[in-house]
Amino acid sequence: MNRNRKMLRQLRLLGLAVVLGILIAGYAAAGGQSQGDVYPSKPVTYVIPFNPGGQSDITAQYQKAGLEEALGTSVVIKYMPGAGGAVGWASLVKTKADGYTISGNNIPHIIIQPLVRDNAGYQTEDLIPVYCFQTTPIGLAVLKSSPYKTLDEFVAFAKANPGAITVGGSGTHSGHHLALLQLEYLTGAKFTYIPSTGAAPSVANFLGGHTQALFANSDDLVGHRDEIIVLAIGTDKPFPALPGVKTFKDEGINMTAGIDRGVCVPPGTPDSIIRTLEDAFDKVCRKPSFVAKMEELGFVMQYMKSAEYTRYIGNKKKEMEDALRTLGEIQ
Amino acid sequence: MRTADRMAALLLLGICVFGWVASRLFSPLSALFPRVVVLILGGLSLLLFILSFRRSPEEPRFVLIQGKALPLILAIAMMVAWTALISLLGFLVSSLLMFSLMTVVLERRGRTGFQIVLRILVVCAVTVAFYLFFDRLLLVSFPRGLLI
Amino acid sequence: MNELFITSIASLFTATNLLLVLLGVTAGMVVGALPGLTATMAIALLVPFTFTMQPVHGLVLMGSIYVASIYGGSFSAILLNTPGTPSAIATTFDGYPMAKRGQSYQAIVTATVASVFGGLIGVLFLLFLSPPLSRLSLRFGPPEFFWLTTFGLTIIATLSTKSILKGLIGGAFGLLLSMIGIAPIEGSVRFTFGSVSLQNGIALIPGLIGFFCIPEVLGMIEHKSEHYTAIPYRRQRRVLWSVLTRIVRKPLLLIRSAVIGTVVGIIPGAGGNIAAMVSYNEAVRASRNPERFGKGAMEGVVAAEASNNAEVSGSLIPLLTLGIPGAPPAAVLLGALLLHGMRPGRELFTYHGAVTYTFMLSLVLANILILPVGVFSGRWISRLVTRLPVTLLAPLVFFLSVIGSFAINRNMFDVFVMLGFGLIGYVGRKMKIHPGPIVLGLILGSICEQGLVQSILMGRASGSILAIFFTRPLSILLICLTALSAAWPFIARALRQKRAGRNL
Repeated sequence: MNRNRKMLRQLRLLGLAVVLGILIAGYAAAGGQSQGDVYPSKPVTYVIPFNPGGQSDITAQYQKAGLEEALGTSVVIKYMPGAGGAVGWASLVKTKADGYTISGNNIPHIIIQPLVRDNAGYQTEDLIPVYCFQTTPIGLAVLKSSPYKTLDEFVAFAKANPGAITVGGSGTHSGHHLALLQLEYLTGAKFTYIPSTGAAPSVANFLGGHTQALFANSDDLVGHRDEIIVLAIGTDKPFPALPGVKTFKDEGINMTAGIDRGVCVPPGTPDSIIRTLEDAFDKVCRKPSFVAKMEELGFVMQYMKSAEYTRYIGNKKKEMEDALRTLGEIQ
Repeated sequence: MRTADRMAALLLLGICVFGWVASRLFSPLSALFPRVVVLILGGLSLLLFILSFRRSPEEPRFVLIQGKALPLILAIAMMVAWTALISLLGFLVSSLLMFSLMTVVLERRGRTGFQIVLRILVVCAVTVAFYLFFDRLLLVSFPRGLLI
Repeated sequence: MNELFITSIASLFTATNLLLVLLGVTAGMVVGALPGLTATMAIALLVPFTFTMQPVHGLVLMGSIYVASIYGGSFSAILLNTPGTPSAIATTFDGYPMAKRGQSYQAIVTATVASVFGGLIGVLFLLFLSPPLSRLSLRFGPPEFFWLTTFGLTIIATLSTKSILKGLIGGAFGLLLSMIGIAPIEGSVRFTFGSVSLQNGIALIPGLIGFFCIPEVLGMIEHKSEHYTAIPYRRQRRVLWSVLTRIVRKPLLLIRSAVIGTVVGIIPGAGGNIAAMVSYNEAVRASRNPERFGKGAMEGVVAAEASNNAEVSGSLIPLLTLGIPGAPPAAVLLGALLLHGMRPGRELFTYHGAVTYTFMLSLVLANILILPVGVFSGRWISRLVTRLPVTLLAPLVFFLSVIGSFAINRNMFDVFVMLGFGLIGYVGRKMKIHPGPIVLGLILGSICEQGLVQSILMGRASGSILAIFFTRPLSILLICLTALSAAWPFIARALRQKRAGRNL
């Protein structure tokens, strides 16, 4: 009995030695990665803080090939969905600022989340903006069967019956919600906001007649244009994909609504790397084939480099803080 | 079984109280559903507590751990260690280490040296195969840690 | 339409497409069988690769993977009591007891045949009844979702074999867990204890793996047996024939399960897990000997697997007609469609009609191919799992659990969640609180809450909250179903006593 136990113990030690050997061999094989002096010398990770198949993902897929060419290294798309993007952004601010991890960012998400959540995991200023390449305009729509055919009729009814009209949208404190809050603020009308977790459920709710109006992204509006009337679109100038639809500004309501998308890097990233990245993105996003594809999908192109983008975000933040404070959403 | 039921009921009631108190910080519509569920869970736990005093003829014997506790505790410890080591040593290395360790430590019958080494080799082969499949082919990119 | 049909059949039977279906079915089965890997993940990982393919090839491949992975989940459900995908949760109820009795191969073959037939019925609905069914899917608004989830929760009574009270406690606990994170309405951050990772809530897959897998692993270690099942796999002849004859003799079971699967599929947000559980519930209620269920009744496996394969087609109906995914894998498919510039709606069936019809027909082929692939691999997989020593099997399952929990969101936090809930689930099992109701609560919680709160908002806007909940026709139907299902245990007991009294 004793002999067996001793043998067993010896064999266990042998087993451990084998494992250690594999460990060492493996480490040696992996080798120390030699960091080249020129950026980029390794693959770059492009983080999408949302689920695959969404708008951020589609855009990134189209950018990937051009980016790899412009940067001279491979680009790996990594999905980190959760909490409306916050999980991805909270993780980004803790990542090494060596330029090998970049992330998509969305306005108004990165502005509103730190304002309304006690602990969003990041501050708006921590995400260093690199480049802004598109806006998805947001518009207001009703079904063809709706009794209100124009924005004026719609707002007039709401003023007379506060809270009676239900308006759907995607998410609380999101671009859609904010658009509704701005509309209420500028017209004095009161609506009831019915948020859904995601664009598709909000569109489903609306098409089924469970909400009377909908704030939606331009591509959803374009996709269902046969069944709906778009009362207004949140762009500065009329939107080509939706001919005949007036902007909110044309209707006398001084607001724009949309989701802006760009890329950002962790705080502390050297300026030279930011320059390289913004040039690469600029090159990719100005390519005619890319522009055509984006416009086909219903996006509005932007070409803002880092400095301009940072200023844009700063202005938007002030705007939103004021609006949210007046409407009582934040202190 | 009755004591176990009673303890579980008390634990759940504690969770319900905590849930109710926490919900006071939520906005009205965000607090609605939690409160409803906490009330339901609280009521059910109370019912469980009360019923645990009832003597029933066909009471199942409550056995926390069948047989020796040591293998089980070791297994749990190793699983926790494995998970913790992933961020430290990297997925591949910690898996090779812990998978082999678990296989060897959990062995209860005596095995010859040859059988143990064979088993470890199989473990390593399987681990590396799955690692390559997921990390390289499916691009899941496991945590790297200090090693791989 | 007929011409389109014929050209689509012709384009399906090209070498590339046939190869893709075969590849998709095999890969899908593997993905489904591994606990932690889901159909959604498999398709999501594939989307970037299909970017460079022709649209039809990408869709055919993803469709086959979708079908096969939903089926593949039954393997680990039967052999390891761990659903390989959420759709296979209901398969564990009777599949695993069958395996414990040495009938693992029978169970797998049953699951295979049921999946094939259920899937084919589902595709028939997709091909011929898409327009009316998609209109039905739109009728589901917040009140209907609320009543649907309460109906789903009454299933707990069926799932709890011994103590309904403990089942309900498990369900309520699951509901509580589902509320961790950011509230869907008004966005309060709830129960996160300051952790940003918890703001996203308890992800379903890590929770599922935790509650089902880990207790199994610990159970394996706890019991002294060398192999996983007490009765080794016994080779039997003519299993396929006997299973086929038994299933074909109960056409109502098959058809009902497939219809339930399709209908649940068209409801946006309700996936295969709910479909299988509702179907299982209905099979129990319709049976003359309901006490056989939960102990290895073949009908349970048939009900679960037929409906979850039908659900695949169901989820595609609102996706293709309206662009509204009926289940998470369909949502990823939506992304793939948009990536190729194919917009759901009338355009998909006319301008892109050839691709769409070829895709739908490929689902028929995929469902049929499941049979040979499943039956063939089922034999040696069940032999492998039952013969593998526990000292290898237990760490292996844990290893797969770690991979699966991590791969969803590439987040180590989920792995810790999986481990934590595994330990909780293990203790729960000791207390006779089973994982099924807890997971059901976790799945249904967010849908139920959204339905409730959105309906309240709608009610406030229209002036009457009660009217919103109780006067809509579809809601009334669901309320009746809920009441019936909740009262069923008592009705069944009364019926049984009456029958026993009559027999005296």
